[in-house]
Amino acid sequence: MQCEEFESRVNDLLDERRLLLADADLAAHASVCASCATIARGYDALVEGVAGWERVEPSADLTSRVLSQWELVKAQAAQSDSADWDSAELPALRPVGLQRMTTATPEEEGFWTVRRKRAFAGGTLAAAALATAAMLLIIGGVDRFRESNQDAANTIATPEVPGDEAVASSAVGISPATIAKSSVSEVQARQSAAAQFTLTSLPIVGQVTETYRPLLEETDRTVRKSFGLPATSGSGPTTGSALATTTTAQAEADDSAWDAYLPDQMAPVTQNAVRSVVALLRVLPGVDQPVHQ
Amino acid sequence: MPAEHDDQAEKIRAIVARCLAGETLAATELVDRFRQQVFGLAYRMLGQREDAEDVTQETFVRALRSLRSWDETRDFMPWLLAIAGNRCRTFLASRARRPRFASECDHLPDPAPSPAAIRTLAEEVELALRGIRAEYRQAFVLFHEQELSYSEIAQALGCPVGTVKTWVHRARRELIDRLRARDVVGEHSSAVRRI
Repeated sequence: MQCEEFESRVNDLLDERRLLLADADLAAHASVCASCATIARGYDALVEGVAGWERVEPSADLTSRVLSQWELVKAQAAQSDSADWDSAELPALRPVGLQRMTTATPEEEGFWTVRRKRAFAGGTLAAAALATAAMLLIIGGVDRFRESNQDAANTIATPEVPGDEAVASSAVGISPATIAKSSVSEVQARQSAAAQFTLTSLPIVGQVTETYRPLLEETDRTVRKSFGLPATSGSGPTTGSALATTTTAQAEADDSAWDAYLPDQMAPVTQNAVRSVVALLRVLPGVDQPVHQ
Repeated sequence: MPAEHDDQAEKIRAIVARCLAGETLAATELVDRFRQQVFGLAYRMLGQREDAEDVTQETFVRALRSLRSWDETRDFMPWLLAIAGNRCRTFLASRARRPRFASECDHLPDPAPSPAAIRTLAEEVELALRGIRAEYRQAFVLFHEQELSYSEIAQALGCPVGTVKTWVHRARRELIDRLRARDVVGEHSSAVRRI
């Protein structure tokens, strides 16, 4: 036997849960090679050390503690009535040491109550400070306005804004109701367009294999439901050809394309939704050309 | 032996089925059956009895909560020990983030249950074990103390058998180096005598 084989042979024997002394070749080599004999001593010491480990037993009340916590988890799940309770966080475990010193939960409850009260008090103070600052700013602004206009006539003239003449003249003769009506119809038109538009019609989605299409369609339905958009009958263009390359700029363009179909007040929210979907697509395995920032 | 294994597996499947049916007694039975193994792993991984008990408790609650996701065609214990190993690693990561004072306290030795039971070599190996990588430690403990097969450990760790073997071999080597650095190996030289 060569020295190079020695340690690997020792490992093989240990893997088979056999004693080192069972191998005659090892014994023969160790008797003539000091360095390999040292290696053998090391392994032997290790095995003996592990064999000397005491069997560690948990506390007698471990099972009852597990079951108590399990009941608590089940009760919480029933209370929250959540379908996704499997992924919910466990209730905080009270350290064993603390359990031995204290027996009941009220202390713990009390601790959280105090923390909540402190947090609430801090929030109230901050809100009061902000409100005071806002009041001071308003009062200061009004005073300055009065000072700057104290010499003017007791009428407030319409301020003239350079370059606004054309707008002003075009607006002449159109009643506020008409202007409001046109805004409403514009919003309605955009909402109608939004109803025809789906997340699955985004260009980047073209990269996704059919495997993920149900996921995307479900996401689309969820987003639509969350934002109060009408449901669509179709799911937009199907897979289509995979794009050769998709850049970050295009992903941004996707955002704005979706955004353009929606009422203004929905834009920030939907941008986030679309970004989430784009981010999801970037990490999905099977997408032909993942987008790298 | 395989027949006995099948018999055990069948018993566990029956207990799990009763747990899923909401039977508290079955949950008790399940915890009692595996508490020693889970606690043993947690204790070797964390080196602290209290921490190991917390992790064991959390492991069982998580296991009970996700019993439906256990594949009945596979062994239960590797699945359970996989949860325990993950909990241990999470615990170790959070311990590493704790303030210095807390981590110093963690290194204080546990009060030994009985001074007469202390074996120097076993303690040295235990001490050396705490210094090696968590993956190596877990694989080593599962193989040498829990006596799981390599394939069972591979299931528990979610990696190929070859990787597990490498980890166990590296663990042995690192432990020996640490024992040697503390002059422990020379004092226990029965191997040569045996050979």
